[in-house]
Amino acid sequence: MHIPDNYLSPQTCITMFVAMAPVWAISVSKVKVQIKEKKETVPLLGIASSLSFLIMMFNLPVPGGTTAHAVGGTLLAILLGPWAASLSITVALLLQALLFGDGGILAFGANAFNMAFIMPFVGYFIYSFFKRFNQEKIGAFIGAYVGINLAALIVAVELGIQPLLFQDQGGNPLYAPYPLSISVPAMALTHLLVVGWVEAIFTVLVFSFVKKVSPNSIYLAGNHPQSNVKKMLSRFYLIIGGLAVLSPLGLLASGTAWGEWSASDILPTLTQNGLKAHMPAGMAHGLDFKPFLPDYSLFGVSLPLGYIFSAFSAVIIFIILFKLVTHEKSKIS
Amino acid sequence: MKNQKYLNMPDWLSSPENYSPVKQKNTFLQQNRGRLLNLLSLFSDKTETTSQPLNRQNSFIQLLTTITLILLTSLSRNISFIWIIYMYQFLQIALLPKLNMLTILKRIPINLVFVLLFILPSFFLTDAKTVIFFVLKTNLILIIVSYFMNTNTFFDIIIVLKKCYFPDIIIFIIDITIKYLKILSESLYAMTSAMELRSVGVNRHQYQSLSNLFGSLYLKTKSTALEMYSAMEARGFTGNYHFTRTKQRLNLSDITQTCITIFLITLFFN
Amino acid sequence: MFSFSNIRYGYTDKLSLNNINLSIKKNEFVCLLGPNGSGKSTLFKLLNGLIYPSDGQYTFNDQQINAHFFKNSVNAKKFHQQVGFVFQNSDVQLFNTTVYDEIAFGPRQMGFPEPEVNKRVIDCLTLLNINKLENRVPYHLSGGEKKLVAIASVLSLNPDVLVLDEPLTGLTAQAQENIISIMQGLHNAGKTIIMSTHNFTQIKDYVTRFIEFSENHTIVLDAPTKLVLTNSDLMVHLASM
Ligand SMILES: Nc1ncnc2c1ncn2[C@@H]1O[C@H](COP(=O)(O)OP(=O)(O)OP(=O)(O)O)[C@@H](O)[C@H]1O
Ligand SMILES: [Mg+2]
Repeated sequence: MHIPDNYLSPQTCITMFVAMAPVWAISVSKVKVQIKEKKETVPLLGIASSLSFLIMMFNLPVPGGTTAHAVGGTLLAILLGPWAASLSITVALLLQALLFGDGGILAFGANAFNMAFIMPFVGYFIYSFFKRFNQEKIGAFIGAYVGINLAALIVAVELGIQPLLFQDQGGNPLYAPYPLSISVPAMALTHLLVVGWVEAIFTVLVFSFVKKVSPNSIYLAGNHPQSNVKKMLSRFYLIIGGLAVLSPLGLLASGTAWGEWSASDILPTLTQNGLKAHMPAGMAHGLDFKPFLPDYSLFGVSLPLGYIFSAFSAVIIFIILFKLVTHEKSKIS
Repeated sequence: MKNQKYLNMPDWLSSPENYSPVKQKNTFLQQNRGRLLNLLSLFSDKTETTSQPLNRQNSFIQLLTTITLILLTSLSRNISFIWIIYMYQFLQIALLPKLNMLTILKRIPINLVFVLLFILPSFFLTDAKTVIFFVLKTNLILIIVSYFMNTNTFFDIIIVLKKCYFPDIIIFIIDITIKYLKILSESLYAMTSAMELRSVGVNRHQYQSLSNLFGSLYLKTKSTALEMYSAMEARGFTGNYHFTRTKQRLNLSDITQTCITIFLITLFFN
Repeated sequence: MFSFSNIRYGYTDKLSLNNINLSIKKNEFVCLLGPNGSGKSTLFKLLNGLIYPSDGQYTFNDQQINAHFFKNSVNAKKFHQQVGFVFQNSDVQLFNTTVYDEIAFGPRQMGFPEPEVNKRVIDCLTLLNINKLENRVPYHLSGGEKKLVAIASVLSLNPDVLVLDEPLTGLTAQAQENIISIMQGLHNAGKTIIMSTHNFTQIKDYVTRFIEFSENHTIVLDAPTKLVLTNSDLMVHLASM
């Protein structure tokens, strides 16, 4: 999930930095409040980012003999609260980029957006939703699964729009060359089938361990968890909304919203922004853009949408399996 | 033999065990232990490079140069320009002590494999020139980054981050992160070893065991944080973090590097 | 059984083991002595295959022990079952959610049916006098309790060789005596015991051989207990460590 440099265009990288800036700003202010209440939060944050670092470097076995690693975004959000988790993961990612060359330096903003924002917040939101019904474990599982898959989808989109937006005179891609029609299924396949499960199982098991061994070591959102979640959610939407305005990639004039441009629109917009204007080869052949996402489709469903559908189907199947398994267990004991 | 009287050895414990494990391809514990060992060795290696005064360049300038070079490389569509940056980088590497040189060079083939794995399938989408260009650029960026990583220690980078005017709290977190990364890795290393030693057969709850490792690590983390906080408080810590932002002086090599970078920038825009 | 020849090992550039030559036969009861940082724990890690010598050869039952040997999972598992290791720091050795599961971890992996696993666990708990800890969470145990659980969890594997790094530190006098008598019982049952301690006097009547490490990470004394006990100067020296 760590995007190296040169896979994304510098323009994309800058956009992702801009998108991530408010998250960092709010996290710092949020965490400062948390520190006022509990001063030991500061050392805890530092130690949590080293933990996050280790989670990301520890290989977990995957059927078939290979290994995968968890990111722990949702897990840390559940244990420390989403803002603190976001900061901790950010620091871990920063060190990985600067000290170990894991993930690009220019792409740091994008990586942080995917792993230190989308994953912990989506995961935490889902977890707290299920928590209301006292289904914390299911919440942790689904939160982790959906969180990492959503992050993977965003990675796929970030990579997949590169060949559309950044091409040389000959229409050849300058950065990651795979269009959405390849990047989305590739990420979907690995994350829906393998990495998502690794993340989800790891998350729920660590969560259960901590809950069993030391239940008060888990983050409790203030006195009014619900309003807190609401506040958090509204901030989340604000940032997503802000990103939508910035999109696509801060390159296009504000007149056209993301995804609504067609081949005839894109040329002037690109020229306007100082890019060498050349009709991308694919577009010249009459490929127009439908609202939201390009019309790459799989059995008639657009790919990113298909990805989201598959994720939801997997979640539903999981809930059913989980219910069956837990029911069986409780009968035995 | 005075204690023998109240000791009742169970039969199974006083006879040899006839156990033959089933074959199973399962070496990820060993793998992880190796990775952690590498991480730990990095900590000690880095400190040793610091003591070599050969490449004492201003880290802040170095970070800026590194980012500029990555940016230029990434934006460039000119093969000659890429070539020039390659030459510049390799010249810099050539000036390093042999040991550092080797660590940087050793990374190149590994990096290449990864880049190739990613890009090769796209041969079907584009032409060979695009693929080669992508590989050359990505590889160059990785070399630029390894050069930076190899000539700067953890400590240098902290100083750089302070220079970047990150909020104090972030720098404080980074400070603690680096300090505890070593301690936690040692702890995780020991736990992984312990688990490996007792993994004498088939673990049907592998994920459970691994997750327990991380659960314990988190709880240890948490209690360490509490202890650390009380220790800090005992020394008069009030909850404010202030750092003296140290100034590093510029030397000749910094000025040369800056000039070369500016030259490369002008070259890029021609 | 074990044989080390010209072993050197350094975690960094500094050597932690220097030119170690040593062989240990079956059914010996060996005790390592030496100042802090002299290399006892390092030798144990080497012996258990957690690290490999930078220089020199290590063989176990005439089989060379190196990275290649452990690449084969059957070798690795058999070896780890045969050689049990109790860490100096038992904190890192416990990772299950109950003491019961902790002790059952090994036998379950060996594929015993659950009644047999249960028997082993209960036997070990009784042997170490920790039956009351059965359902406790290892994470919350005291230091001494953790040590006892760690020993139990290794015993349940029924290893041929038991390696214990300072098994007596941090325990009450009664628990220490119990551990000593267990080691002695295992020794009588034909097992090989290798341990380290800082308390010579306490174990001098039980072990069969003493090995002393020096501050330069070399072996300075390697003698059977009979010989040590007849040399009063040596006795005073070892007892004063
Ligand atoms: N992980 C490590 N990294 C670097 N050096 C280490 C490491 N572990 C031990 N050492 C060093 O190796 C030397 C031998 O250490 P070792 O732990 O084997 O000593 P010991 O004889 O067991 O001491 P003690 O009686 O205190 O347990 C010491 O100088 C120690 O500082
Ligand atoms: Mg020791």
